[in-house]
Amino acid sequence: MKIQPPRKSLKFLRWFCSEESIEEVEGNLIEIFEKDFEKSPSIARRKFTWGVIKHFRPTFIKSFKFGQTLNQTAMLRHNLTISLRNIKRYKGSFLLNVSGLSSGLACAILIYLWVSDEMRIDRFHENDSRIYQVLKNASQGDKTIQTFEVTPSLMAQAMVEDLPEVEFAASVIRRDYGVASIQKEHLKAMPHFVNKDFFNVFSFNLIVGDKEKIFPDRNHVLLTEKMALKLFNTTKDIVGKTFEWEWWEMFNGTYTVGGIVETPPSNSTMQFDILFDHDLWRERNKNDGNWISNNANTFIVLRNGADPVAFGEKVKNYSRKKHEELYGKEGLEYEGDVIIQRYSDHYLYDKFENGVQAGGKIQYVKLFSVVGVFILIIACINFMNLATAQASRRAKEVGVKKAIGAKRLALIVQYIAESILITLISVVIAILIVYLLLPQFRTITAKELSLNPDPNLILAIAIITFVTGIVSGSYPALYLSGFNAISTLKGLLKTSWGGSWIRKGLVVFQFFLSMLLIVSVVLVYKQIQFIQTRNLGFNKDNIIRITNEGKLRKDPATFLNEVRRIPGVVYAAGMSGDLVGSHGGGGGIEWEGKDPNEGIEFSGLYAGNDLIEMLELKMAEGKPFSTVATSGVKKVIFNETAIEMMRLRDPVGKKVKMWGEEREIVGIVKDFNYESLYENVGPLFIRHEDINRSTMIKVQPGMERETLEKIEKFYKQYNNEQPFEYQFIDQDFQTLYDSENRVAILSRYFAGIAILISCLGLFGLTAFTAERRAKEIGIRKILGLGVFGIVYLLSKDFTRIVVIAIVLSIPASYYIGQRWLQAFAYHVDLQWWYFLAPAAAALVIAWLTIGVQTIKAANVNPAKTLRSE
Amino acid sequence: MKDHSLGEFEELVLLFVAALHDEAYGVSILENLEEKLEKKFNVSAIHVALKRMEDKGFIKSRFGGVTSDRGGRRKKFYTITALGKRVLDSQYSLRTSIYSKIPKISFG
Repeated sequence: MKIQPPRKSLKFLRWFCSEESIEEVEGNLIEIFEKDFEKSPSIARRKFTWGVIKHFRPTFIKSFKFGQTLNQTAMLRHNLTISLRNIKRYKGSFLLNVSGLSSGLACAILIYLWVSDEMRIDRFHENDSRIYQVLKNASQGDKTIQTFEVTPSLMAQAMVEDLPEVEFAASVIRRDYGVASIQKEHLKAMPHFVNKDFFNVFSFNLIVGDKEKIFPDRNHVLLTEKMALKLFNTTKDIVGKTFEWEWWEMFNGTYTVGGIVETPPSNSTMQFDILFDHDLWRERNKNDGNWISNNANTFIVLRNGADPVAFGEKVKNYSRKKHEELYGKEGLEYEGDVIIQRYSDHYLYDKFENGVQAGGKIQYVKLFSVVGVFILIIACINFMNLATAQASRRAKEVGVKKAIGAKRLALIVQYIAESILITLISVVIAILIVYLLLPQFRTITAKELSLNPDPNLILAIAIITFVTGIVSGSYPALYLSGFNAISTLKGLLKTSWGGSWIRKGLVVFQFFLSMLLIVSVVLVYKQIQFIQTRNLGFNKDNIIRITNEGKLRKDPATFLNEVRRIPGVVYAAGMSGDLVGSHGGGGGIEWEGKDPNEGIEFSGLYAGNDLIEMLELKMAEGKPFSTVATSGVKKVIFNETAIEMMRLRDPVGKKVKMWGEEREIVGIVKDFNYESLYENVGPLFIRHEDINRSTMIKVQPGMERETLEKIEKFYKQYNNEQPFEYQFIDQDFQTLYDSENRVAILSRYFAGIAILISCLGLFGLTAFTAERRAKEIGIRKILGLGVFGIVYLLSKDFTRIVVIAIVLSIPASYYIGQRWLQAFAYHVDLQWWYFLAPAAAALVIAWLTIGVQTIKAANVNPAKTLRSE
Repeated sequence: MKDHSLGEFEELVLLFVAALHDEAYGVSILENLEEKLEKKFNVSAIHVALKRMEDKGFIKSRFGGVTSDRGGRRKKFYTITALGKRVLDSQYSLRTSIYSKIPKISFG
């Protein structure tokens, strides 16, 4: 009889003990056990186990290295050879894999470039983490809160003095373009008025000049390098030179160059050509220099260690307190909470709803990041599916390797390494594609993107590549390495039901993602079309706008009268303010029955005669300016929303007080969209003025060219040969939706690529199935099945998969679409065909893909496929 | 430098390897040790000592034939090498030379 030592102990010994010692240790232990057993079985067992435990020490434990006897480099070379042979042998699937992966990777790299550029904006300042922008939340008459970027120009200085946490504070006043000239040379330039802390807050390099005293006196200015080059053709020895500046009346005159500042880089939201002294603004602009006019942007640098949250809480009532200190209770209702936002966050998080941060451009950044990941996933799935579907080709390899003694882990490593190799090949091609597409991409995104090898980019590409390689290699590696050695060598490979189920699931997922992208594109396109063709409540066609400069600014009346005589000119009128945002305006309006605790911030337009007729604005009550006469009192028109918020009854003929000046309401204009369609129409006034900032001219349709030539000729003659610059105002509306247009174009491309890659995968799978079932098709053909029958046979599975994907994607895309559209005050309603059309398109594209393969397979002569064997 | 040190227990095991000549393997060494020293040992201690001395080159090993005993495992026999013998000799002479220096007076 054989006596057995304790099984568990023996198993444990065999598990840990090294090959070298097991023979001796186990033999001796068993011999002792056998001898002891005769005396006492239980003692023998205990002693045996004890003996095993005593051997559990480094001397006898196996080394942790795998295959320590293998030559690692030889293995690597062997794996590489096998991979390369496979690529050579199955060129078709290799090409499919590489084209899918490389286009996916190219998309991912492009998206990375765009996203990282967006994330870098305004982050180059040295104090970046401590620079905060001061914003104001003002509550409106209807209790909604609006967030304003403008603050009193006194705010910066006051904050430095009052608040110990504030180290520096810059006050920046930015308005429209002006004209700088030397002799006959006229140049458009963007002025910013800045205070002495400007260079302490922002890291724009001062190339020439004294940082401590940037403006020796109020007539000195700083030019950017670019501006200096344009104006003087050099940056050398220009300090002390003078030029003429024409802008707002009170600022016109001769200025002296006091220094040169580095041109703001493209990743700065602050873009200026000339820096003027902030004090000059306050000296010349009599309306400023108080706590009521909000003209400046205020930027502060918090001291090291200051807690921005606590500070934000502390300054919440700052503006109100200051107002009360200066003026008492009067006008206090127009004040609002002070909030601070990190300056570099302001670009991406620029939307505020009811005074609370509500996203902004960050949404597009997130959207495209998701799109990039989707496309990569789709490309990875292609690889997985092709690799597992064609597993039978490599089953023997797995069998032989396993029989020789390859561990499963070694096989997994091999297959993942292979997929990383293919991804590496793809990434090289992808970089090439990116390089070729970059100029195009730059124009679409209007960004200066480059493929310069900076460490971040290289790291990002490396990470994208390896993650893609590992993800796409993981499932095939697990699947292939799990084969049973014996059955593969016998040729009994069962493609398990489970495997094909996963494969089908992956294809469903692929088409699901593609469908989501396509539906999104349709929605974005529809929404943008809707906005651009929507009736805004006024007619913006064929109207040009000229900024009034020179003589035209001083005497616009003569100019208008003359222009009206030019044949082809329908209307001409003066206007200040802008139809698309940046409306001057504000509160400070008093009317009969006004609740003293409630202030309404109005948007404002300043208009001459004929403007209302020109824009074809509809009057709800009263008459436009040109047709009513008031005895000496100036005129004003409100929109319906304004009247409603003011709760005025029978407004026409009533008087309001605007900034101390009495005006008569002559009419009410029907609401029209003067802002982005993101917003609802707000309260608006149109003040009648004779002198305005710009001139609007409506030109007879069909006569644009000759009329514009005549206007230009007259303008130059009138305005001392200044360049005639004009803009069609519908272009302004285009730029209003710039980011949407860009998103629309980009998402169209990306969705196209997504469906293309999905189809590549489907193409590969069908080709493979057709090949596998070649004999079956041959036999069926001989037995009389027609081409159509064969096509049906091969495509019905795939059709089912695509249909499932479509059905699943509809509720998901409906949900996402609904949420996106809600961001717009005016939006298209979701129509059933927005979903059906993409679905039909996806199905047709899938059928075409499958069809090419199946028809080819169906037309093969059965004799060929059945001949061998 | 090669390690020529020899611990007390190792020395005992080495002595038995030399004494048992060609019949020295784990269990036989263990039994002899227990008999002579009248003390119980765990075979793992012997295995460790043997492995160390083999690494140091004092002993060498060969496998015996397969038997149905011992769970089918072969015996691993040890013999002393010339180096092992020299180390043992020097250890022995060292001890006797010091021993001879003990004064011949009675230890009452």
